[in-house]
Amino acid sequence: LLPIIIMPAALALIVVAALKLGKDVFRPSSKSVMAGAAFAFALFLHHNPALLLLAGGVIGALVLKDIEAKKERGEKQEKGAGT
Amino acid sequence: MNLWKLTLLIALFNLMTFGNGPVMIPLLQTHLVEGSGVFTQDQLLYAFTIARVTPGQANFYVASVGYMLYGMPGAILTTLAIMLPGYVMIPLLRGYEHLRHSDWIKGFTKGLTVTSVGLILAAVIQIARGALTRPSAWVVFVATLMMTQLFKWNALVALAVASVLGVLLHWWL
Repeated sequence: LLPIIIMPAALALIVVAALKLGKDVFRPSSKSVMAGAAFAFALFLHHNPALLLLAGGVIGALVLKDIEAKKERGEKQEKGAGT
Repeated sequence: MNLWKLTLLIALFNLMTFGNGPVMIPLLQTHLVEGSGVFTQDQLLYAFTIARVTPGQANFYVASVGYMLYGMPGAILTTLAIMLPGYVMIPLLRGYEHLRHSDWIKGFTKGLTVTSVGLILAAVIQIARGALTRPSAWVVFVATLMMTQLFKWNALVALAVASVLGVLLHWWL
């Protein structure tokens, strides 16, 4: 009964963990492009996930840092305007 | 693969993923299941499920991985491998506080998180090819997904309900 009960349930729990982790990945943005690229490289081209993870971090530091900084400034300004 | 190599591998993966348990799934899947073949996909999922339905950190499933491969010494060493980096970091916290506010570090961690999502979903599809082969398995998968994601049920309760559903479907279909 293990393949019928535990395995599908475990897979669902992993999907839920991924959904929680990437709340903002599922909207069209540079983040969704990065997640999609990691997905494709891992699934279709069978690249090593450890290397993809590191590459994602480096690309994030180069590309996402400005976007994140901009977003944070916007949030701070919104907060300031609210108070 | 010996016990020390497994411990080092888990310590490395834990550092790379900042201790995020689900993110380690694709890494362990590649190295332990597909690479060295010392572990099966079913064992990996079983270990993950045990950790999800029992109290404690989500990344403690590696203790089950260590136990399944090397018994109690495996469980102890893999647990230490995921706990020690946190303690080692304590003296370095002051420096990290400065780094944490750096845009580069924020971008790096965001990049890791975003990439992790893609990697986890790719691993899910790879595992699903072998695990979701029957209609009843699909029903349990979708039901568990809905119970935990939409209705926000506790993982243990969702697993219990999914188990009953799986058994009933197995008899019925």
